[in-house]
Amino acid sequence: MIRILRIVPAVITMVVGWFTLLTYFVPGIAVARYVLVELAIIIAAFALILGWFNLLAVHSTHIVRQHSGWFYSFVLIASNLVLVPLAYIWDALLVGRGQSLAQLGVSGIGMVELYKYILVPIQASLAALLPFLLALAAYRTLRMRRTLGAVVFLLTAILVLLGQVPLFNLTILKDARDLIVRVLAMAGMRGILLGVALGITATALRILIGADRPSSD
Amino acid sequence: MPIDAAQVAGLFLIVVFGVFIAVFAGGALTGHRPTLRRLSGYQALPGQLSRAIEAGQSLHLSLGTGGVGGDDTATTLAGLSVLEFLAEEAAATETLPTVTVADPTALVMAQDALRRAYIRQGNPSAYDPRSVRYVAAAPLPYAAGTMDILTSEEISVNVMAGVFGSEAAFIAEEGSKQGLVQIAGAADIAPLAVLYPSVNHLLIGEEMFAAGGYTGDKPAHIGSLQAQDLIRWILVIVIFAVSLSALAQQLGALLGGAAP
Repeated sequence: MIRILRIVPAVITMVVGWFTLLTYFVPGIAVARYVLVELAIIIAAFALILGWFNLLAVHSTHIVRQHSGWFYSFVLIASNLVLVPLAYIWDALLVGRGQSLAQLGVSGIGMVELYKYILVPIQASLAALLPFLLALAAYRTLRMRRTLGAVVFLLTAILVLLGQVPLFNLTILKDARDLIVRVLAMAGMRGILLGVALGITATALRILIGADRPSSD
Repeated sequence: MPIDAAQVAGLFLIVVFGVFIAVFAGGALTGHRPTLRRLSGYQALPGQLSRAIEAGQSLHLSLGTGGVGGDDTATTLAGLSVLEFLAEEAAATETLPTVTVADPTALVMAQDALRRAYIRQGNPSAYDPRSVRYVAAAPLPYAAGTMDILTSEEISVNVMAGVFGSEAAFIAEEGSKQGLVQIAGAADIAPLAVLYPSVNHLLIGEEMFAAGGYTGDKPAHIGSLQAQDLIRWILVIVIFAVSLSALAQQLGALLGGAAP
């Protein structure tokens, strides 16, 4: 009995997988695919609740055991417990002033504003560090890993960057950049993407024939 | 809705691919195993957790921002194959790897992969679901949270296998700063470019999807690697043939033949 139960997830995955594939080729049953996608979204929503509990459990443990950086865990939990109700109070006040629920939208105005004015600027600050980080990583690569591949990688990156700016009006730099980006890099990218497409198809087929069972033994 | 030629071609390719996988997997089952080319990422992976444990530290695996159920499913499953391999090694010890995710569906799958490994090894009491952590939903907060884990916890090996964007640079750079052994794999172009300078071993594109064949020695995975190679050669020949035919047409038009 237990053995049968163990293969149930794999059987469900195979049946739903084949059926979803079939919807692309059999006219008239395509609508069933949207129903399945909606079901998947509902299941994912439950997973989000589990994720939230996981977040609280991990960071509560950090605070209780006074792990290194426990204060950040405290800030995270406090933000979670204060900002979410605050957003709903904000929305409730707006409704009290005569705004309809439809005007608030699915996320609510409070939540969107908090996201826009707190999270987005923090994320933008972090993203702004990326070019400096990459320059540092490139410099370190040249120092630590003096292989032909690393040298070619760095020289190409420098050439592309120089070709991007109108430096001394040197058209040769722009031409070199175009050659790298449009021909050499594009050929490499297409090769990689072709391999990825084959890898994805192989993964899907292994699941469809039951050779790969990521959710059961 | 009529079926067009592209759909028929797609279906044909899927069927042919499936038959090739079945044939090669059957061959692998009966002992006809090909010699797989060396991939430094998979060569470096075995024993990393044991070495980390010997040093009194642990291993971190980042599954990236992808989940199961959307476009990123296959790449996330490839990352989960790496986790399954590491989980088998971890389950024989008392040290759990730290796994970070940014998608709740990946959280559930990763917890399940880890739990099953501990049950298989007869050590279910050592399993702690909190070793898999849902860090954040968006890429940059996920990177920030993962950087904090690499800085504040006793970690000596950083493995990144899954869906990443340019935020991967932050995680890999932090790992590099901490002097960690770093093995990373990504299917997209942007993370590959930013990971290259910082990690010790990089799995490029389709190499990510070969995890089961290299780490698990599973016949179906080895069969699918052979099938991929065969299909790739067929596609290369078709691309060359179509290109040469187009070139011949252009040349014919240039030399005063038929109109292009």
